[in-house]
Amino acid sequence: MIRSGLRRVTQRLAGKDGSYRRGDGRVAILFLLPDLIPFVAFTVFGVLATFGLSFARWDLITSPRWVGFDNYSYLISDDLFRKVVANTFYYALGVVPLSTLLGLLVALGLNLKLPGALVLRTAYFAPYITTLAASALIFQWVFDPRAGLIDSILYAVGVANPPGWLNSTTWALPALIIFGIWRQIGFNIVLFLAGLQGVDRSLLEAAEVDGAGTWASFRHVTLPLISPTTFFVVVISTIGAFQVFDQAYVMTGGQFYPDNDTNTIVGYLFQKAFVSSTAQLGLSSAVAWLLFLFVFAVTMVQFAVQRRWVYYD
Amino acid sequence: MPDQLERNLDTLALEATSARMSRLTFMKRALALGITVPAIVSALESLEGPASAHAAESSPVQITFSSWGSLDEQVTVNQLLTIFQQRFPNIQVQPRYTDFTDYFTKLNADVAAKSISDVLFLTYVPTYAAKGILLDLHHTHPQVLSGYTTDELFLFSYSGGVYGVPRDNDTKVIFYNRKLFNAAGVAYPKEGWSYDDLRTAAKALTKGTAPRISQYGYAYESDFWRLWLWQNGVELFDSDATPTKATFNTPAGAQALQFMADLTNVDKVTPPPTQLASSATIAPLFASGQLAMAFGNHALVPTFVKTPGLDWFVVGMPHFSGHKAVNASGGAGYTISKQSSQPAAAFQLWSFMTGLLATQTFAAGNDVTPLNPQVLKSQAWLGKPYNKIFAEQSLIGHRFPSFAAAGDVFNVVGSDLENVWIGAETAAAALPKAAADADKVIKANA
Repeated sequence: MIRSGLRRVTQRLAGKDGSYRRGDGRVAILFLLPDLIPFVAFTVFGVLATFGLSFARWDLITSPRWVGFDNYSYLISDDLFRKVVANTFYYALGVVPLSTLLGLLVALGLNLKLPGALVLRTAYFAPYITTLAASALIFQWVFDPRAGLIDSILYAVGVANPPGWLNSTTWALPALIIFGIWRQIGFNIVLFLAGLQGVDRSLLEAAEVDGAGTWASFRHVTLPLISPTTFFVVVISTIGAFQVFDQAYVMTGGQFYPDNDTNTIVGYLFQKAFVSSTAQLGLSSAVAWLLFLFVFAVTMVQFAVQRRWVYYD
Repeated sequence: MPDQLERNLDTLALEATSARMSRLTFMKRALALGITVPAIVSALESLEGPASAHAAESSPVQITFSSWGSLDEQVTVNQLLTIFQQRFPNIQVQPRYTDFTDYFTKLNADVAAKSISDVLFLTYVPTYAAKGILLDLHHTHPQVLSGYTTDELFLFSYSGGVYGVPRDNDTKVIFYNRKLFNAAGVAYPKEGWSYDDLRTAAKALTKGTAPRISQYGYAYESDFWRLWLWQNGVELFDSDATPTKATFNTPAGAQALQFMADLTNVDKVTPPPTQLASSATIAPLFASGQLAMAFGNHALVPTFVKTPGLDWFVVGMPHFSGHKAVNASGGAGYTISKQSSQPAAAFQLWSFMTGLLATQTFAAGNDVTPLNPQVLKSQAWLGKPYNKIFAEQSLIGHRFPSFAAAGDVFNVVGSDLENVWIGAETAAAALPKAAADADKVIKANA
């Protein structure tokens, strides 16, 4: 019914031979304008402006001053920037594989449609839609070395010196990774569930007839069939992981302690733009463009590699 | 004026403030108390502002006022703004409160959007004076600065101008829980005590074994590393106003910082470093009886006063062996935006907030250690026994460095020292990098 309705509308817009009539483009633009105007004004213009600003020094008060590649050369030589880049990659390497793997495992369990699956599905998705600041504050307590949930359990089971989490240079970033996985996993579960429900039952039954066990069916039928979903999850999670900022900001009260061990590329960008007593918008813009290049490069690599393991129908 | 009459006038002034007493009633009651006419006129002027200030704006105007502070402090500010509103009905004041942690981030954004408040409660004044956004009172209203010493105005001075006046002193004390001291059989700390005394007491007052400690002996704000350096005879820079290099990378500097870090990592008598970040995390521990001694300023008093069953008092800062006790001096104050579209109304509000009535109200509200000597010596202030300690400690305050990049220097050094507080690095190892980073920021902003 919906399809036939759409066909009628399309036929009315298009000519008898299926081609669009003169003036249809203008009508289409008219419909697009309400979204296009703010998109150009607040996104396209902003993106282009930051590119120009990345070659300037601008404190938000005086006029921007052209400095060529100074901002980029400063960043390359800045120890703190190198540290936050390493932290961001470490975070992404921790969150993306683990949240993908755990998301898939839980989705496989939920796909069995056992009693209470709907409740569990809601429970797993809840962290993703919970206000990040609120959940980050709760995790502050979870990671508290004195009375926190994790260390209390570890202490109760006989670990004499549980990790200090945010009080430790070794464990501060893993604490953020754990929080990141907890938050991301619900989103991945929903995507994997959608992917699993699209797997053709007849293929699984054929595999069973051929004598394939549970693992072999999963390895040689399910996994290849959901590989486009897996690829989508990995790409989206990677982009999100590179943009991590708010949980570290809230959990450390904006301090990114200890000694910037929980600071990330976006945290560094924020500090240079808004926390430093003299705003360094040019430098922040250069950071934003370098972040874009990192994400772009990683995504391109993922697209290049996907040809080897992603199967489309 | 004899002391008793002065005390009577103080009491009456505070009563007039809280009860909205009419001018006539105030004068009648003051005369009945035997107070002279010139003293009454002077008191009225301080309560209501100068007579010239009453020239009301011809048409209603709206101005904004930004501030940080505890909820108690906001109550006091709101009371003052209500009084101001009654006196100047044509000036509508819109308060903007922001938590201290985010105050300067928001201010920087406001600066960018050219929408800063007309009157601002501010610290790191040279940073914002250098941006050209604050009114230079030295040139526009020099008469209002006459009651302040050069030292008092140091934190508000920049490049020959004066951009505000201080409200209070950020005087630090050690709050101690008498009930916990009694239970542990430890004698209360006395003025003139040393850091070794503090360490001994903190050990005796700590209950449990790390990391499962149910009661801590002491908590300090690790952000106040500057104070520990001063207390051990170390200066931060070669100049407080125009520094060219950091001077804190010394054995004495390392010794002071290591002592504080050892309280956390060796003696394990303090909460973990994440809970030492600010008084906001320390105060609840003290109020709930999980902490015997807490480092802090007068802003903590209202919370502790209101906590049922909390038996507390204060003692002055301890000293390092071979050195005198040193405290922090100077505090935040009021400034006026140079971008204000209502400069006359903004100045009116600024005058009111820096006047004696506001200072007295803050002192009565128990929120701050006032800078005004008249208030500091008043009966209303000294009537609370712990305030005597605050008053004495404010006399040994060390001047705070004040230059445009001070905030950035403190941020970078504070970040470098975080590894010391968590025990991942010794102070001796961290200080060279901290000093080098400070030098880098100073040089970049020279």
